[in-house]
Amino acid sequence: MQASIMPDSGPPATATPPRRPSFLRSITLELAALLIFVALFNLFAGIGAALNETGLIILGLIMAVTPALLWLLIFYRLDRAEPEPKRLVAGVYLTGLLLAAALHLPIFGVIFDTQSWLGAYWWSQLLGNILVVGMVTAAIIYGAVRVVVFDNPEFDERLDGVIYAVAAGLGVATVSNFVYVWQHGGVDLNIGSIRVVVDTLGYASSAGMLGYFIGQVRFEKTPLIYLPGGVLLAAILTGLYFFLIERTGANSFGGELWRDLLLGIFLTLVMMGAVAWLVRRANEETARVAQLSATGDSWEAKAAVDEGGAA
Amino acid sequence: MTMWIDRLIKPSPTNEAPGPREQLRNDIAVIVTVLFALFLALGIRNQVYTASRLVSIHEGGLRIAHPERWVLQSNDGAGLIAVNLGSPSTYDSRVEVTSRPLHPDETLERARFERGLKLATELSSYREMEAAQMEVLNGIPALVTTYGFVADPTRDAGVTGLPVVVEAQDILFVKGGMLYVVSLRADAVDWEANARDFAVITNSLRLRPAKSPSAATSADGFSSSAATLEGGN
Repeated sequence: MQASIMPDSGPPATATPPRRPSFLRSITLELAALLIFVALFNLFAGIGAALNETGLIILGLIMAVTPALLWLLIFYRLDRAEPEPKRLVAGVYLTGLLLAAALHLPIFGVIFDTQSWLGAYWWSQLLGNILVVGMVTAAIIYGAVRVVVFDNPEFDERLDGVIYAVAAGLGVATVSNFVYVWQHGGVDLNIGSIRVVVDTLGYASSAGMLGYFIGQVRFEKTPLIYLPGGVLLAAILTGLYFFLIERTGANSFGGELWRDLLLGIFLTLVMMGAVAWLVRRANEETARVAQLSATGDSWEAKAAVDEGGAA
Repeated sequence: MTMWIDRLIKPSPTNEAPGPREQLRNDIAVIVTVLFALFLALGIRNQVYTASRLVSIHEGGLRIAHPERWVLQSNDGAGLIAVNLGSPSTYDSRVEVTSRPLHPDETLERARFERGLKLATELSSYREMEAAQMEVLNGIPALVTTYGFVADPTRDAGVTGLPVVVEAQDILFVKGGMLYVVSLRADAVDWEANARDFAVITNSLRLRPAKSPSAATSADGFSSSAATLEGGN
């Protein structure tokens, strides 16, 4: 009994589907926009010297939100073929943000007091980043998507899982950036802009991986360990990302923060590339099983599906 | 590996959509996974908190532990200094252990009195706050003195920074004819935050209240406004 939601929701194989921008092209565009964001803040870093602490905090908070908004904007562009989910994307983003804001202090500050032990050893940093930072982030992302949009009919293709999860991840990133700016009483514009972009990339890309799994469990029966495996994988990616950034990158006072940025961009491209490939292959497999067109869930418009090439 | 990726891409042989029961099952599985991971993280955190390094003084005359992540700055066989370079304050939390032979007819109380005098002349704004009789190493009498002073840790580095009020606790005891002084020091603001690390040290000394309790003696007036360098035992 074939009961797929996904292929039915797509247009017939013979029709020309609405053209959707390439996923990776959108990511590249996003990265370019973030680079421009960093370049602008570095170009006008001198403004910071003229501001008092309140001014620096306000500017820092604007800076904390901007990468997330840029990313959401790019994803709107990616999903323009189906404009309905936009309000839902914003809803998931805000839910992720509120959940992260509510849980940040109790979990990281009180229960785990991560500042007192996370950086003590390399292994505590790695495991702490995975088990605390990664797991809590993954739980928030899953919770936000599950509560706001999972059962909504607008969630009608696997890519939506990625989009909504990234939106929730950006909510977490925004809170992380808020906390960073607030704790430092405002930030230097050049250092701060790179720091918020690097963090945003980390949260968003691992959220994208979790979004793939969420998209899968939305449309298919999966083994019991499938989704927990996805949560674990996303937590590992989050933990590894921040571990690599913290261990191999520059310190807060170093002049090599650009190295962090380049590493962040590289890791994001690798993770998002993997997500794009997985979603495309999953759609092809679903189409092969259903012996239907995969055009409803493909990244690029396809006139027809070559059955032989879908294995 | 290929099979894993295949299962990742197509976990089900059909395209059948999951029902509410499967979705509930997934929710529960995620919650259990997250809680289990956080439980593991608590274990790792406790492992970090209790990780310690054992150091010998006087060729095994005294064995004392300090938090493993603290840096051993000196260990000349008769004493040691271990410092937490990750302290949030400019004054790094530390433990300093010194030892010397006990003078003829010298008592623990007298040794504490002399040390108080010495600190009062060496440390800036030295103020003794409390002293109590305790025991270390399963029954050896000890005196624990709590005091405070003002340190200027940034001055040596040539940086302009505010002086720091330091809270300290000296544990004095005699073992094998040697007088040992174990001095725990930290920025007074961070004293409570350092309690866990200091516990690693005091636990290794098996510091306990004295079996024949005597009331804690309040500070009996060692104080100084000398603007001298801190340090030295």
